[in-house]
Amino acid sequence: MLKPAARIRLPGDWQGTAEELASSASVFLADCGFDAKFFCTERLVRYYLSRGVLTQPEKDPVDRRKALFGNLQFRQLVLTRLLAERGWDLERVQGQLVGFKGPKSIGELDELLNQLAEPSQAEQLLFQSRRVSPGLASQDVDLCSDEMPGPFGKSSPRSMLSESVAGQHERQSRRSVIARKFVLAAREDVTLRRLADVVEKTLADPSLHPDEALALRELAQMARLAFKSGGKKERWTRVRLAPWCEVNLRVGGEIVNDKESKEYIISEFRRIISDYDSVL
Amino acid sequence: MTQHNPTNGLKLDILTLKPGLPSGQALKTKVLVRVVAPEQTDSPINQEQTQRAPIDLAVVIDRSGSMTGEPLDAAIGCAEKLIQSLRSDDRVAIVTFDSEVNVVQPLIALTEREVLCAKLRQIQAGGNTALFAGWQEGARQIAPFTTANRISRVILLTDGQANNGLTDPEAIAEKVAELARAGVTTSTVGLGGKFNETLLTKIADAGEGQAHYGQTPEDLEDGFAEEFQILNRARLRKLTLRVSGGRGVVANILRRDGSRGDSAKLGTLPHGAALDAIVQLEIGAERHAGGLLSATVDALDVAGNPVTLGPVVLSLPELNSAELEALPGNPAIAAAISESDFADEFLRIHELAQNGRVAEALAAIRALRNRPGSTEWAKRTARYIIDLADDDLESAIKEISYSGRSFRSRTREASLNEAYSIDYMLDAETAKPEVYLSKKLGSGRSRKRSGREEKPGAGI
Repeated sequence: MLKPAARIRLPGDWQGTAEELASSASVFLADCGFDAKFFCTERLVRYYLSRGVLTQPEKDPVDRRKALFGNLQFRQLVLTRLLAERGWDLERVQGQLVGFKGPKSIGELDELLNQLAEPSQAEQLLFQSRRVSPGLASQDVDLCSDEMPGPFGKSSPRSMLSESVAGQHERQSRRSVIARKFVLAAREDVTLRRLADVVEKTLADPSLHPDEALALRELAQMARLAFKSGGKKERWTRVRLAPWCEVNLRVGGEIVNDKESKEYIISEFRRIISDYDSVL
Repeated sequence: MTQHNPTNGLKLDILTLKPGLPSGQALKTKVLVRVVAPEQTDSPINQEQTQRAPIDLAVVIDRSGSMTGEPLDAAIGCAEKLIQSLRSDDRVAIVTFDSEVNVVQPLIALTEREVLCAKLRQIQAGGNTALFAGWQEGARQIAPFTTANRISRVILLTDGQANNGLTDPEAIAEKVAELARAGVTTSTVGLGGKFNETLLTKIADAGEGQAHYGQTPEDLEDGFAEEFQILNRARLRKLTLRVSGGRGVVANILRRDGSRGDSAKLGTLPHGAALDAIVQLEIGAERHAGGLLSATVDALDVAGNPVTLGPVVLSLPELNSAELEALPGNPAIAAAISESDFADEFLRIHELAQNGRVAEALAAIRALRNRPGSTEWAKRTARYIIDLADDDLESAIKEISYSGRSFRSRTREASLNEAYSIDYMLDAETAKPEVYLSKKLGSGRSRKRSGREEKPGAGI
């Protein structure tokens, strides 16, 4: 089988917009056998850019308002997408993308891509989404808290682990706890006419953490899609709250867009995110 | 009893004190299982070796408040020496911890050693000791890159007790062992006089690495030199010995940590050296002398390919007591078994000291000084510890633990007779370049340091 870097088909002088970059990365990842959750969007490109994971693009010499990305950002995006989906926080991903003298070269990133395309058994054992934060040491986390997505569409992390390790997969993961809490909040206690309105207004809050903002944007997008399909009294929709968190929400026709409900869902989401951080 | 592999010269032996068994009697005895790698002929030691796999090293430094001053300086000095001693195709990550964990440098190629050393020198002491979290972050830095053709090792430098986060030694060792099986090994360095040697040796054993201790970077020079020479000259890695007794025979390997079982990890075997394991046999009266013990070694070569040696089967003729008495015993095997017994004694004595029965422990060490059948190295180590206890009881107790380990698990010379029948002197001037072959006196002191360690001889 070809190494992942050898599957990159972009010309050496390739340049493209954020949308084209996202599309190229998604096509490449699909070609390598990664499923749809690894794919990239223009919004994600802009988010990674704002977090400093992607090198700043060049300005189009003809249209100075247009940003052009190249092969370097393509590799940075693919690696970030792969690693973020495996639970790496962006700081940690960035640590891999830079060397002593700034961003790593295309050749170095290709080597990195070949090394990191598949998670090692040791990485799977240590897989967690926790960040290096003040709360980190006060609560050491169990190894192998979650199953990692398998690259190349055929890797089965469970089968790669020892029996005892596979057993640990059965443990309740913190992520699923958060997801469950959120689902319960959405299902049982909240009635909103337009979930999208709520989350979009929340985005105006300057104290919002970028991770929360990304999750809320995705939530808003999904809610909008759900309402666009229209007509049904009740439907389920899958929402990605963050790269590491997906929930299935029942979107009902009785959702009420009142201030109390909005505040409730916002405070619940914040509390859950905050609980999550303090646990980790 | 010997299998030669014509392609690579590796050898697996089962060696006995006498070449026979007392006829029809049940007995307990010990035998030596020995794996020998041939001398490397193409390149001398101390030169850049191309044979060994490149290393990904995570240096994890405790910067808790108690490390302020000399211990932190020693840790930083050690880390600098480590970085300077690595090859250009190796990579290093630096992690510090107190009550928080900080990644000073994610895993990076060694193109700018001075930049890394400058980062090290900026580390300052802080709060509590979240030892497990620190180790875990170090492991996280190198775990994604684990492959069969790279060595992934965490080196944990600490002066203290784990008092934040996961602190139970058994639980920590379990996690460390789990990761070692997945390819990330761990060595430990205890600094100063207050560290928990039981925890650190347990971690090193579980992590399939080495345990060192000392008070200055110089004290640790020999330990690291040994560790890296072994890695540089590695012929086989991750050796695991498996034994099984024949009909009517129970076979148990005496492991480094004092436990027993039918398998044991032996570590890394360098060129021109041997790794030994003592196997205890409980031979029933109803046995089949044609197949008393079978031994097999599984390992990886430097390229990460699996290698199996054996099985080698031990068969001994049954002799009457007069015939057996007339046979000469092999002094080299006797010495090996005696040192293994010494290791057992040291473990027991260390436990006494840990339980507060210090006077009893010291009396037991004194009794070992003149124990008949002991090797000169073992006797002199006992004397050294007694002298050390007069000045620094805490260090003496730690020395009991670390010396006991080296009696059982030291890398030996390939020649059995040279290794056991000659108690050669090795001081700073006459020491062999292969540090791992020297019989060091005092695990936690540099041979170069002046003072007590010069008194009885820097090493034997």
